Amino acid sequence: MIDHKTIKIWINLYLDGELAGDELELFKQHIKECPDCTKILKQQRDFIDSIRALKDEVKIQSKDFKTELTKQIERFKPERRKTIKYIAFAGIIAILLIITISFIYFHSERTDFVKIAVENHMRQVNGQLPLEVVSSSETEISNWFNGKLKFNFRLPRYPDPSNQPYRIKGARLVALNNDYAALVSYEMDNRPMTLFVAPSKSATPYGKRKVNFKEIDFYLDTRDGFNILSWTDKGLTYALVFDFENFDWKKPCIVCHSQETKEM
Amino acid sequence: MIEKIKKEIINSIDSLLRYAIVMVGNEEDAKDLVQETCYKALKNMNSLDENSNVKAWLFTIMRNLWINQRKRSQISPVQLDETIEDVCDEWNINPEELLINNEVRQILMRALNELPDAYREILVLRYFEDFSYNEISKILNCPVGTVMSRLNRAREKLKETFLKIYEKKQ
Repeated sequence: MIDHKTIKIWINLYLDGELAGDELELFKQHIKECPDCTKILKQQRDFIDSIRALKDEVKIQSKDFKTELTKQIERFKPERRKTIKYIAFAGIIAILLIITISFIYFHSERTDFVKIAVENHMRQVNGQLPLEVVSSSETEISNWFNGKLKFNFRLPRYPDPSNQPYRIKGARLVALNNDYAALVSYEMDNRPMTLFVAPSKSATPYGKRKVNFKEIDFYLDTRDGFNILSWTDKGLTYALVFDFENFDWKKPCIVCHSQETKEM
Repeated sequence: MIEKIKKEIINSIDSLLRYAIVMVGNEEDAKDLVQETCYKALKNMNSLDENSNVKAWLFTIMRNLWINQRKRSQISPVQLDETIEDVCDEWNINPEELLINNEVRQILMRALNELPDAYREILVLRYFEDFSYNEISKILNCPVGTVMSRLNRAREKLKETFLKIYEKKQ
């Protein structure tokens, strides 16, 4: 036997079409037999219908606005899928770095690498971490890092420079666990992007989602409005930080790497 | 696919405008918000798949834009009582009367406008736009249980506010 208090709670669920199954049957049965609850149901239905009736009270002079906006929407031509470029870019870096990176590890405690990557990105974008080497050349930047880091870090070259979707702006050293890590600044579609690199002994990739690609686990996370793609490969941990909204991680991967990528 | 989404965006303009005007309070800002929402949606169409609920997605975008605008203008959030309540205050006005009686309708509209944003928006999403609890939970980014309790509270608060104004006028 259902008590009146439960029925009163169910009244709103019933009127909102959210009551189903046995509960719905019990509710209907009770309403049939209980005049008090029937009265409350009627009152509440009237009230909800009254709220619905207010919909027509919201009036806006919108004809011209709607016509113009409709035209703009119809005319809109979607840009090339930017999201593909981000994942492709991260993937290319990951693959090419396999060849160039050697195993050198820091012996210091692990830290919140992703958080520091975001902080460095923000500070770099705000001008608090000026670039120490300004160049768009991978070779020049790799040479500049040579001897400054306790690990071997070389930037890969994009296979087809004429179609390179990003622009390298430069790089600098940043502090991490009483030593230096590498920060490379990029620009893609007029948006800043940074790559933070440190030995995996002192840095762990992290993200709420994990994507396996070419036997590397990529971690996807969002913090403070930034997207972070982090991964570890050959003794180094990388974090790519960029701002991009409504980013669908799944589709671009499949489009770009449908042959190799497992379901994410 | 893109043309289909575009069509759905165009079909949602009226709903978006209605939601925007109720939430923002003035026509010009509401139109700006809708325009920005559509532009952002168009730019991010690729993130949708065939089964996506475009209308709910548009409302999510608009709500996020609106929240960001509010943050910029430093408006502090209202503390909401989220407890579940059953139906309490009696309602003795039927919808037919509401249709005929312009004054009563205006009082109810005023009561809706006086509610805290969170109550006003959940009532609009449910009763103006007919979103399900599940869809609302996605738009508001909160559990379905919160939708249920907030909706209960919003309804009761609307009744209470309406009756206060109504009784003063009598």
